Amino acid sequence: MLVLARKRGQSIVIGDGIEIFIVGIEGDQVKLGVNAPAQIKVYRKEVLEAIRESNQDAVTSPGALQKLKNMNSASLDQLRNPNS
Amino acid sequence: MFRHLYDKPIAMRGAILGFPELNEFVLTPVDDSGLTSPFAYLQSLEEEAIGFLVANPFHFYSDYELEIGEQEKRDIEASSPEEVIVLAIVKIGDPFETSTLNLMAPLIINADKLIGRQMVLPPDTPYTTRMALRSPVKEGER
Repeated sequence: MLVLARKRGQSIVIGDGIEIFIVGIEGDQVKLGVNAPAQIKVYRKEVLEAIRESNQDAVTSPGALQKLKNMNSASLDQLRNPNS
Repeated sequence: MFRHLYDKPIAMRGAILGFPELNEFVLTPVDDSGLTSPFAYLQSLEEEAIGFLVANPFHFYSDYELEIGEQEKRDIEASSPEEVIVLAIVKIGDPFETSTLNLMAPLIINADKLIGRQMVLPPDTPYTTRMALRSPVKEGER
């Protein structure tokens, strides 16, 4: 891993068109500014991890779906038509 | 509402977060009356045991908003919003009414080209990965 020391107001450049600024430093928190082309998506890592986890929690095997339908007729009605 | 998507392979190209190895999925009705259901089942063609219950988010959140950016449009090769179908992954609860919708990271699918991806809404979005399955909007109240 490349480690660089930077001061407030300084920046690093990654590839073509991505620049990351140190906007501010307050205690153990660093504020970053990111300039990047629109197609480069910037996410807080925790957000992606939360979505990954949410996806993994939501996995429903065909068997589990079938079981849900068999066991719970109310659920099945919900699945069919929640307006009813 | 997704009937024209049923039973055709959809290229997700590893874009469901946490499942980079899964490229192709198929959407099937949840039951025989599936044509009116806001739910459908998205199953991996590569790992048969992996699937997701998905739902039309607008059925439960008629005010749901998302902006599909240029890059996302390119990713799914969509040229107009009409081609794009939005699905939310459902985490099934027990009882079923306690199930939640992931509105922070919806699936967007190009209905014509059958290419999809999961997108992440920007940090200022009011939606989370676990939104209650709200009472559906009744016809006429829209």
